[in-house]
Amino acid sequence: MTKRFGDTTAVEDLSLDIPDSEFLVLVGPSGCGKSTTLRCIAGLESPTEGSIYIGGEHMNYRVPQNRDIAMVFQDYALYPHMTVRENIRFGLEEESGYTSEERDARVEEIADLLGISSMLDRNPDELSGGQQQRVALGRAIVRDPEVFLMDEPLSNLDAELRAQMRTELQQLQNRFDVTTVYVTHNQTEAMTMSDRIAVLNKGKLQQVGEPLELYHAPENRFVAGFIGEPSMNFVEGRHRNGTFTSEFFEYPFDSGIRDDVGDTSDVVLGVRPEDIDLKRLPEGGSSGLADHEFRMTVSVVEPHGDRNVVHLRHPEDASESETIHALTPGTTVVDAGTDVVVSVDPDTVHVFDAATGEALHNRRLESEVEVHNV
Amino acid sequence: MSELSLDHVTKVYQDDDEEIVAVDDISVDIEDEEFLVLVGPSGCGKSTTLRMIAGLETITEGEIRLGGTVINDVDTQDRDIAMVFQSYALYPHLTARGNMSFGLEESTDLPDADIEERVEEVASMMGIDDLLDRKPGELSGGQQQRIALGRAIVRDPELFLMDEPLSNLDAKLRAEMRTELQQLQRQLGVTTIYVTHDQTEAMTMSDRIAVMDQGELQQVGEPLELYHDPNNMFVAGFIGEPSMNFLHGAYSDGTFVSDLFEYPLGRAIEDAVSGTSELVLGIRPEEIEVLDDAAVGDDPAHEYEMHVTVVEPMGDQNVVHLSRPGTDDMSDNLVAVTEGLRDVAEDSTATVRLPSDAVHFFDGATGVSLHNRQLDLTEETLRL
Repeated sequence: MTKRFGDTTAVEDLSLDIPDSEFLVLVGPSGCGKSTTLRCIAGLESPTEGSIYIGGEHMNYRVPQNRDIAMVFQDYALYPHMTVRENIRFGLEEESGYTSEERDARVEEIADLLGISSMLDRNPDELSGGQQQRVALGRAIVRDPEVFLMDEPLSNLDAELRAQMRTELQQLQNRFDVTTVYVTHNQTEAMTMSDRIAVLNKGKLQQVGEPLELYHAPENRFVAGFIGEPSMNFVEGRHRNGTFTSEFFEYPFDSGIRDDVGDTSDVVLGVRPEDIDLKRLPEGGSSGLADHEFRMTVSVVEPHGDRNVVHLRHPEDASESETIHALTPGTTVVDAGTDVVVSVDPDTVHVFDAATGEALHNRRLESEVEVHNV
Repeated sequence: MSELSLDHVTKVYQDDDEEIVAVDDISVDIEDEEFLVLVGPSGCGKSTTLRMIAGLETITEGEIRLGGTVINDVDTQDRDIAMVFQSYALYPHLTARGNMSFGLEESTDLPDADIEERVEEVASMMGIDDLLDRKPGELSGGQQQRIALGRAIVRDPELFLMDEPLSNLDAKLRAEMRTELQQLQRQLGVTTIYVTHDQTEAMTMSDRIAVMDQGELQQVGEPLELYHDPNNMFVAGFIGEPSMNFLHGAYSDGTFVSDLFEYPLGRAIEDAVSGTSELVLGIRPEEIEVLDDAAVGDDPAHEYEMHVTVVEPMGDQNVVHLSRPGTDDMSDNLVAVTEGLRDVAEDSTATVRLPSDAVHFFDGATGVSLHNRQLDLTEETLRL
């Protein structure tokens, strides 16, 4: 599918199959084309090229109300003059084949499931943001649609409520088994809620895969940097004779990495913060450091309680152009200003082509099973 | 010297016949050059406190002293304070340079050349030289907030007051600006009070954190002190993400008894909780061990079988939601955090351990902490 607005290509040649009852998250920075894609699926925009099918049926020329989809938006769009009950019941308005009693029973059933039974006779403005979003969900669910489309439904909620609603939504989706396409710019929502994630950037699909597949085996630097918080560290440099060299670092590649990198010379080394080990500087300073060890200076420590984000720079890197972030357990305290030994296990490094961003080598995992079974 | 003292400060608003106590008798001393974060949920009184320090609100009772001088009745513009707000409040028709020099032109007799030099100096220190000739409309949110900060720094005040300055920025930029702000404050050595509702900002930026709730000061301390040694359930639950787990129960014959399980206390904890009947057990998610088969049985008294309902993979870690086995209960009983590469399947049964050196106990009626986890924060073994 391609969608152009005048000369601007919002979505370029996107192909994606979403199996029945899958929860797919479309994620990317603002302007990446994710909302346009969702609006095309909903029928609020028509694709410039390509086709959209739901349950094998071609949808391009079908109006939104005949697509059997339900949408949930960031703003809850509840009718302020209607009670919660009336708002949810409104979702059934267009549906035929229900008696009045059946409609009432269905509303009660959904309200019970969402834990809002006690609020059925209140007006939306008497509810908190989280409760209003539950009502909006209820209105979508009550119709029992083929597909749910959700556009940043949690972004108006505060952090704690968002985390709670994330889990709730996921449990609900598991229970209803309705195919769901969920749009967000928030990588945490993508990672934690989805069966699979589709990452978009500048209108182009970057990668589709299970959360941990994207995390550990990104196809390119964009995906590697977008997925994960704090982000993957990137150091730009050159590869020559099996060794990576940047302004401040030399990192020898083992044969496995060398085979993957081949003769590409401009490369980017990537390492996730949790894969960087810190050790106390031995007596006698940096003499005797191994191949994959470096002496670095701690510039900032951000304690989070459960862990610390440690900012590191090379002692000679005054401009902090090659700053690296590491994670340590919360009870391992490091002081800003101290020098430490940083080691990076070759099993954990990624190498990207600097020109194209393409992943030449991804980290090694002990077994594939671990990634897929989690 | 720019130490700031709040001495039994109270703010009462009159609403018709009703009195609303927004800030209730808070006392805190902020040292010269300290970065203090005032944190709490909305309506806790943190912004009112900041506004009293700024002179934007009158003080109902108590004293505020800056550098030893009582400033209760000093006008805002004479307090030598610079404020940075959530909204950048830049003049749209002035360039960044014009915005940064405006305050100095109005409030000082400095010659234009000196002001110009000062603006350039601050801009270069902040790495925003190349933005100076642009207007706010041409700048991103992060850049606008840097200009607003620069405008405050140029004035070289005794005290910075910041009210949620990063809350309009997206998550990545916010994390970046957090570090930048913190480094800048260290470099300048200006005493700073920073208001936020975001506990991550409080933890990562501050020298000390003051936690407020319902107008009352709950605790003041270093980030890890609040995290590991909270005064009460409010602080324990507010600081840390995901939040500390709380289980309500009762004391019975050397054992904590809840709906979920029975937890034998041991002597030290028993002494600390004795005489309290209603108890709350607290444990941080990262302290709950989801056990490999081989590790089951090492401490059977503190191990429990739970049902894994949802696993949220974050990549570097997994958030594991656990509920009582054998029920269709959707509500979580416990949340645990495991390493990213640890394999935990949804809808399975897992044995978890709650180590006795990691649990907290609170008084169920008052929320006061009776026993905190045993961790000596000055202990050398914690140092890298």
